[in-house]
Amino acid sequence: MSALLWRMRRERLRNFATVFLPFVLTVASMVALPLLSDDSGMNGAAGSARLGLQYGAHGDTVAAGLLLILMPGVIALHGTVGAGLAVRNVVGAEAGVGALEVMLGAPYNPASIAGGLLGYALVVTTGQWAVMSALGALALALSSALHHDSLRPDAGYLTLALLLPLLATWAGAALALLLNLLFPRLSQPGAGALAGNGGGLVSLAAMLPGFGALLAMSIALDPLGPTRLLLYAGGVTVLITVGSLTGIARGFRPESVLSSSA
Amino acid sequence: MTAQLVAHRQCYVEPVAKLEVLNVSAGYRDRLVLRDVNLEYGAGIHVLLGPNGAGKTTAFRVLAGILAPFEGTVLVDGADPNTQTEVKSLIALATHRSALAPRLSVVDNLRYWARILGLPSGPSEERIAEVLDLLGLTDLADRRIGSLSRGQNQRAGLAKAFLGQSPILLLDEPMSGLDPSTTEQLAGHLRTLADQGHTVVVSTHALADAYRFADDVTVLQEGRIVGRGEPAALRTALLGSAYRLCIRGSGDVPAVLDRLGHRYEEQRGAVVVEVPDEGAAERLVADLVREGIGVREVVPARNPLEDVYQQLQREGASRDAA
Repeated sequence: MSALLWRMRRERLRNFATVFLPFVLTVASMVALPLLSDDSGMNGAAGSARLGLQYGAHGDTVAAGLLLILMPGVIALHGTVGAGLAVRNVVGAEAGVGALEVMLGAPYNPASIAGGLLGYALVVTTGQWAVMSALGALALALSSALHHDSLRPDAGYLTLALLLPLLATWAGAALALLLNLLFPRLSQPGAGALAGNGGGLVSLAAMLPGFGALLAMSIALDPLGPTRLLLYAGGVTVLITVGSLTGIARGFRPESVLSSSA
Repeated sequence: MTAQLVAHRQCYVEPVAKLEVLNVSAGYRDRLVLRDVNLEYGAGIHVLLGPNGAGKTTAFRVLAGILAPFEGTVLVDGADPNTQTEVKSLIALATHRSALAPRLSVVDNLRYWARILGLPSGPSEERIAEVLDLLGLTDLADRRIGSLSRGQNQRAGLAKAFLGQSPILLLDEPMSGLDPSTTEQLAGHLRTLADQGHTVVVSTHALADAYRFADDVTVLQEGRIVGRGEPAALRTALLGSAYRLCIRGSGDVPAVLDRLGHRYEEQRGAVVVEVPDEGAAERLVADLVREGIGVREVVPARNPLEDVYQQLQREGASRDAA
């Protein structure tokens, strides 16, 4: 044990410290969010109640409104966590055993390998988004039944609730892939680690679009409405995705994988 | 070219895929590893020899079209693999790491790579069974890679390289971690492939293996080719035809050698003598027998490639110093 503690100290407490970063981010947002609310006296409850009432809640409008606000953001956040893990697990694992090098020796060019990895990441994350969206809808239906409500969100909200998490998840996957391919060492065990497991920094970066979606839903749904929010927040996620893909196309060089696996 | 190699070339059953490296300098970003390398490989077993850091792995990456050279050209059957990626299908690469997923079984890993290589599913199952058998992995087919020993893992990695029956095989340190009998089997299989017209390029640190099965040896040092040729010819060119023989026998061997006018060294119960050529070695043994020595063993004092290797390293060091 003393040897492990010595090693952790030698690694400048990185493994010890990085585990707290997501926690610090969440706590900071919990502290900051009420300050951002324009209804400081109600801490956002008025907005939630308004949304609940708007979509047909009667039994407990605040709870129903909160669920409607938070559910897409929570799906987006968890979708991006899944995206980061999925990309890290495939790129990190493949680079770790030298498989990316052998793939580069197969009749594929770097772009088609990056495209294949992106396709894999998108399929996995879209599948995860579909399952989480179904579970989220089930949770809303259950809540509605328990409160004897009949929630009927409009098309704008439904489009936002479905599309924003999906776009955020894709942005998370593209961002994770960009970082993994340009800096493969980050996804190796012991590098950029979260509690000793490789890829913590990549996972953290991949979470940012999801975290942003959660914040956007919490802060901006009430003042902007679903359509304008989807336009703005969705636009940002699309920009992140396009930027990441451009970065992969311009920056991915085989030697970055080789030097980290040799 | 040896008579053996000529004989091999006469029984090719497949067209030969040729590898050419023309004035290649290559490396990573601003680090130059290979310097002005020229190579031409056809059918046969070609060994790349060199100390750690000499550039063997980089040479494999350049040959496989993974790493584009800074300068010069690599041609696989006349096509540049960096721009015409389809010619990479002629090449199978086994790196010093197995490139297999530790949580998948051996057979599932091979199925995975068969898919990546685009092999049709029906024939690939037959081919997987063949390579498992070839490398003695049939009993381990359902074991997870992560639970295998280093040697077993190495064999599984080689099985992956043999899957596609590519005409060019690039095997980086394939013998490392293998037991002697598997090494022997692998060497036999590589010889069979070479006889069938495959171009087999192998890097190894094992000088004994290189001397035994290489058709030609390329010695790399600090990214430069410092010697190339058949092992025996390379040795003769660098060191002349003199041999150092290690002789063990009953009777007073040193006294007899004194009488015959040979200089010798005594080493751990044996006597080491230098003779100018193979004919002199035969005459020496005949003389010893005539003098009543019961000759039990006459072997080279050490692997002839070891002398070559050391001589090339000395030459490289003095060239650098100059």
